[in-house]
Amino acid sequence: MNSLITLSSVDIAIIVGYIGGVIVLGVWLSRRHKNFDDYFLAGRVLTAPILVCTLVSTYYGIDVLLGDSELAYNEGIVGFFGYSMPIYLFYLVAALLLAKRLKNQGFTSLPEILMRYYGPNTQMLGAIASFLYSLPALSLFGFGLVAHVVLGWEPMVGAAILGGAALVYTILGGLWAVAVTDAIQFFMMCITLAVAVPLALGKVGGYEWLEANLDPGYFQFFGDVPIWLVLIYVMTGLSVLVEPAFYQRIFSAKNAKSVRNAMLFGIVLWGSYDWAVTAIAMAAKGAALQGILPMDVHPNEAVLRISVLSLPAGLVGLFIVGVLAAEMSTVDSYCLVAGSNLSYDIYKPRAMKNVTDEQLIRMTRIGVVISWVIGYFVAFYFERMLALWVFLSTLLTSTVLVPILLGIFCPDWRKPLAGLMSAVTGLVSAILFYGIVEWLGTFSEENGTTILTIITESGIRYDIWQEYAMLFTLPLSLIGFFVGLLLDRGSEKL
Amino acid sequence: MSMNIWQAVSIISAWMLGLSATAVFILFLRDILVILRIKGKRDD
Repeated sequence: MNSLITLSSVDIAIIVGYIGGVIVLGVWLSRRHKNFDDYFLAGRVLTAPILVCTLVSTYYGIDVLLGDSELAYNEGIVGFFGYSMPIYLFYLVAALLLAKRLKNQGFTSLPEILMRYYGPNTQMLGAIASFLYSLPALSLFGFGLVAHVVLGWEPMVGAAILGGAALVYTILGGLWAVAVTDAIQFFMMCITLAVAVPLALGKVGGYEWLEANLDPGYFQFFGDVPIWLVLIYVMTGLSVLVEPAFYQRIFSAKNAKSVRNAMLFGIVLWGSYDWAVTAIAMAAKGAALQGILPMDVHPNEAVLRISVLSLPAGLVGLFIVGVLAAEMSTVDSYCLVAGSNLSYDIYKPRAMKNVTDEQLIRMTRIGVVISWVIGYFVAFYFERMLALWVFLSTLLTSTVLVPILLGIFCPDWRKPLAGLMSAVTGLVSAILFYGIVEWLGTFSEENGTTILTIITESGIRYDIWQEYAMLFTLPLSLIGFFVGLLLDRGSEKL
Repeated sequence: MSMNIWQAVSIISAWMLGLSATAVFILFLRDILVILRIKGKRDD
């Protein structure tokens, strides 16, 4: 097995110490919950600083470090201005308009909102969409990639060991363990990235050299990326408004003010983190041009490789821990959400007898394991995993965005048929859209997606990407909602 | 000699990331110790 670097004994000690440390912490915290609220929502007492740590680290996994950096590596500052920055607008909306309304209604999970607003059928659809979205496949795949590139391990082994550590402390300690380890992981990932920025830029002669040698398009706010593609990127940010892990943080907060402040401060940290990733990715491009990195380096790996090359021994170990931390904090949170979707949202409302808190915690732990195992197999036996994740994200947003937002802001419209028809049309149209484009379209290696090309009789050509799905599914879900509302005149709102 | 604007933005963002993360982490430690102490007493 060939690793990218030779780790010093200090680096190895830091990595082993970190993995062992988070497991011990999980075991210690496993004795600290007395009921399901304690296990799943940390007793609903999380303060703003704790929420900042867990929110920032949960959202920013390896997908940001590797995926977003690819855009900055290939296109320049558009990675920040075109892709990352517009999403802060959705964080702002969530912080100012959603957090208080959701927190004050005492929910436990996202599908429970649908249960109270529209009844069990819509809730069931929401729970299934949330479970599929929360499967940790992409994160476990990322673990495998990092373990392979940095440590030289086989990807499946790396994901099993590193993802396994996250699984152990999540099962044992629930949200307490997730929140406390998230905080440590948050600190590690931010500090190591902050240290890597000046060192990586220094390695290639700073921005002066980059500006003199990179294509001028690298320094245009929207680069060479067409504005419609930027709009599509922005649309993906809509998922923030129905993010199950984000909702879990709102419900676990001490009060509405804590979660609002945490979200607002989180935007500052997300912004700094995104720019740091953009700067290092551009430094990596410079390094490739200077021959410091091979010209054919995969853009996904470029940030990792330039960072590791720039940092001294000891700090390399900390940086790798920071990268692992970014991923562990994502795996643990989504496993817990997916586990609770199975126990709290799907099993409990349909159980024939009353379920005690003890049984519910046990069921959730089993659910966490099931979601981890499914995620692991999807990660390594499904070829186009990134496309699958985009599909599942579209599926969740198309199914629950319209009924949840309209239910929150328009209480008089909480009619069972409205919620159900909106969720069904969103879900079915998302599946049909992806199915048709997949079946009739062709996969474009250049764009990394499947495109359906339609040429009209007058010769006009339309390229329909799979990523356009929400342009169709959300309006259909909205129409479904209002049709349901019209047909459901007879029943009282729930 | 003036610093390149993007270089300046990058250095500032790195400092902001490092300092904000440190400040939040210190506040986290303060809060978590208080919560665990209160919780420990309540459980006893």
